[in-house]
Amino acid sequence: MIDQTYFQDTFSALAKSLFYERGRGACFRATMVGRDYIDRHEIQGGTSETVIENCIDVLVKNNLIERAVYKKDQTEDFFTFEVKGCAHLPVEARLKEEGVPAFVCPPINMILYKIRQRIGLAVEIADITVDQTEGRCIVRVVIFTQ
Amino acid sequence: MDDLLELMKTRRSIRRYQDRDVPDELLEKIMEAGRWAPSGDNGQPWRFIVVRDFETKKALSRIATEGSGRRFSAEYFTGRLDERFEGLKDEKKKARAYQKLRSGAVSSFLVNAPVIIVVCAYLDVWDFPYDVAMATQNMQLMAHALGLGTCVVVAPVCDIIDEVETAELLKVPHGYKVALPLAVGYPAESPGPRPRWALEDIMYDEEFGKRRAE
Repeated sequence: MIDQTYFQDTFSALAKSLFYERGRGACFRATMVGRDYIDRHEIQGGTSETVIENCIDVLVKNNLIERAVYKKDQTEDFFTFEVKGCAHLPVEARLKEEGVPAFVCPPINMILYKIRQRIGLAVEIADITVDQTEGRCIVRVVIFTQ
Repeated sequence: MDDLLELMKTRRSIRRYQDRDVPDELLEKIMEAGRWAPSGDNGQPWRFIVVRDFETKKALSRIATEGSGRRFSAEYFTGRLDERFEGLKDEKKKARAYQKLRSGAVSSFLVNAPVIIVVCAYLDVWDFPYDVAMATQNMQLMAHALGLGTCVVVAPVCDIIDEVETAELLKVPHGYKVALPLAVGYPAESPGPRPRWALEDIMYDEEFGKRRAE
């Protein structure tokens, strides 16, 4: 078994470098992170909801996250995800301690990528809030017709 | 020297252009100015694609519009747009501005630019971001000196997803990246200056945050 802290150290160092290179714009350089992984799985679905559920199933079954739930606001464009027990949480927690705001969420990237690919909707992560005490992240996203 | 400062101070980002072609010789002067920018290790990573074709401009404009629309919709969701427009009290104007930003229309003017110079960068050099930024500044100042207006439009390349699409559109090979599109044309607007921080607010003495002694 490879020491997981090695990957956490490596990922957080890379993320920190990217943030110091691009500042608030770093998030736009990280939108493809996670794509290769989800492309290894067959994701079906003809609506945002079914694609989301199918992606979450893959993420949970492969132990990348413990669970994820979401809700939409009344406009149906704004989604708020709660991701619990994510493999990336230790990385994000460490970055937060070092004063680097969370700007990349691979699990949500995977979901948004599949929504864009399968349904053609516009997608964007709006912000990410890391709550290591509760072992979760709150990720707000926009999903809409352009 | 005062003339140079005046040129810098009067340059504006121009988003509306006259329906008038830009002669090749002027474009070449602009790119010549870019070519003489400082370059780390003299790597000269800049490459320029001159785009006049309407369909290509339309495609760039679509990518830009979609990118801007996504980003500003996200900003709206988080409340950052409200922060940006805190000073704007006219609710109708604010609603119009929000609509323009959230739809991405703020970046759709690219299609109407007579020419777009797409600045690309060779990646096998150490300092390409600085080099292409300095080249672009040279080009914008030269264009301004020639009576032309320019605008850097990062929307088609800001998000790496859009950058990949833009690179495919322009057939930019592996080993290069699309740094930014620069719209060029004769101005059909004359916007006023944007507010700038006062020099005393941004200048420190010997170390960050330390003001010069009175």
